[in-house]
Amino acid sequence: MILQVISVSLGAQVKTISFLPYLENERIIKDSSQYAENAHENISISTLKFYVSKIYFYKSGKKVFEETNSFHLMDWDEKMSFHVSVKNEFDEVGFSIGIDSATNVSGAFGGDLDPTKGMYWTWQSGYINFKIEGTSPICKTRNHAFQWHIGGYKYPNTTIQEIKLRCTTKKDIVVVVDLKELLEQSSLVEHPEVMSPSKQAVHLSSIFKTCFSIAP
Amino acid sequence: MMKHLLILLFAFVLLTAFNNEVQSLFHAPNYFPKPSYDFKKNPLTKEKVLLGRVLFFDPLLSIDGKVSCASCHSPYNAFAHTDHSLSHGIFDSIGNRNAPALFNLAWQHDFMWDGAINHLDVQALAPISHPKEMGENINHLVEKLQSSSRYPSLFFKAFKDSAITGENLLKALAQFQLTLVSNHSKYDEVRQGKNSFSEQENKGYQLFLQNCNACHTEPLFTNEQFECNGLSVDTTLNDFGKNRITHLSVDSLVFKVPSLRNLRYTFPYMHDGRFKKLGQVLNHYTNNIQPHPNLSKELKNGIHLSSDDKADLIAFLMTLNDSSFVFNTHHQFPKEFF
Ligand code: HEC
Ligand code: HEC
Repeated sequence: MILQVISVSLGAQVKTISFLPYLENERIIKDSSQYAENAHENISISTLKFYVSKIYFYKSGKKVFEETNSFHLMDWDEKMSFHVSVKNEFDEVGFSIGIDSATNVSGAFGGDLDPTKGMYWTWQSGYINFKIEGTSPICKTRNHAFQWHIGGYKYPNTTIQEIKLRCTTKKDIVVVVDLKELLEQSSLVEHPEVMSPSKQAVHLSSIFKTCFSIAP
Repeated sequence: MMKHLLILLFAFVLLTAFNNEVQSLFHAPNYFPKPSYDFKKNPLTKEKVLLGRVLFFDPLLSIDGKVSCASCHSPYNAFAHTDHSLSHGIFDSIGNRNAPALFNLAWQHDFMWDGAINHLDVQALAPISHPKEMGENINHLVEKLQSSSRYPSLFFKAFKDSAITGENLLKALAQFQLTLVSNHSKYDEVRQGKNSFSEQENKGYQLFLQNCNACHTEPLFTNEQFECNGLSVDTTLNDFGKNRITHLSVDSLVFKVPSLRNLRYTFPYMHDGRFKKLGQVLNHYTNNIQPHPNLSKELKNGIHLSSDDKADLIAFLMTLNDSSFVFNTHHQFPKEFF
């Protein structure tokens, strides 16, 4: 009760940031087959997990607020949203997809960073920043499966990506994650399995920027 | 005023008690460099070290319940493995590499022969998940530990939380391994002025300084770097070392420089355990270095040692054995828990 009074008096507000997976103009439904234009084929997605970290808020281009200990695992099967308490007016939100290199070299962590979350490689140190798995008839693999575990924190295989989006203090922040550009035919055919830091992982991560936008 | 003094005194007592606990678990002589492990992020306590030790010796960590960390890292071999040149895991599978000795890990910043692992805390994920080592996965392991009769209370004692997490499991294993400090060899006694080298050991020491110290740098007897020491490629394994991780040609045939402490207990030698005897190692350095673009510059002109020199060098290397480390009961199987 007292806490609530204090937070109101400082003008802090709790914002929900949520992520909605889309393929073009359609919501993606887990494990259901949908036509993907850039793949020229149907695709069905079974796993979608990614880290959202280092959340910043900006007002007129100036950083006004930064979340501390800012690591959130978005997992289709568990949760696709989280809350941030912001004290200031803002007109832009910034975040990274993935885990920064300092965290990658500093040992074991708990919470969303716990290695039991399935986002840490075992045979080589480092977090998987973005994981997507599914099937498509164009993948010439067993069961037509593709698995992209995109990560890597060391130059030249760095895959963390910063995203900045215009938004408003008035509404909760709803981010559309449109996978259209990511699901390219050439990647699905030539590299259906990306499981370690590599050129291909860097290429896929470079597409993230085009995937995130604020819901209209 | 009195009250402030009391609080200060109390804080002081707490702080010294804490320091004493860490000191009793982890101690290094003043000629050792500063450890690279950040103890502030995972401060040693008796309870966490004990939990880590129980885990280290527990075959429950493997999928078939038969292989523990100690199966491949035995305390009597300075935590290396001597029966096999390549590691021997679940269902009798043979791995690709020789299990290295484990000690003075607090000074190490890259792990594995190829540096695949960047921090001691996360190292254990590799053997736990390796299909030819323990074949487990960390989630399933956490469930097994949670439903065992032994672990929830041990985790509670260590972390004030009986809900087991991957983080706490890994930090406990790291804590035990951090206490594996080897610094009671004859060499250490000589450094501390408590003993002296024989004439032969002294000659060997001089030869060592001239020929080996650039890579096997005292007092840890490794420079913590990766080098190519001119071993020929074993074509049945095709192990190119650090290149596996970086995919860079300059890292081909480049391996972690191992410490030369405790060689008496850690044979066979090299990443694939190809040499059983130190004599063979020295013959490699004097006769068999393979030319390669990545060969370290210290070895480009070869190493020249007479047979007397070799005997002297081996006499010196034997002063690096630390029997009090190898037979330290605090590092052995904790029978009272099994
Ligand atoms: C089947 C045998 C086997 C088992 C079981 C095993 N290891 Fe190892 N260990 C190895 C081998 C082989 C290497 C070297 C691997 C490499 O270089 O790729 C190694 C490397 C290590 C290293 C790195 C040492 C260095 O100097 O770089 C540590 C630390 C370690 N193991 C700890 C453990 C722990 C903790 C466990 C139990 C959770 C364990 N090991 C279980 C065989 C094993
Ligand atoms: C240029 C750096 C370098 C120099 C100089 C060097 N070594 Fe090494 N040494 C290494 C590397 C790297 C390895 C591991 C190679 C591998 O397993 O592929 C190694 C491995 C060893 C091993 C095996 C240890 C184990 O636990 O498996 C011994 C013993 C050894 N060296 C002794 C010596 C001696 C004695 C000298 C001096 C005559 C010497 N080395 C000079 C780099 C060097």
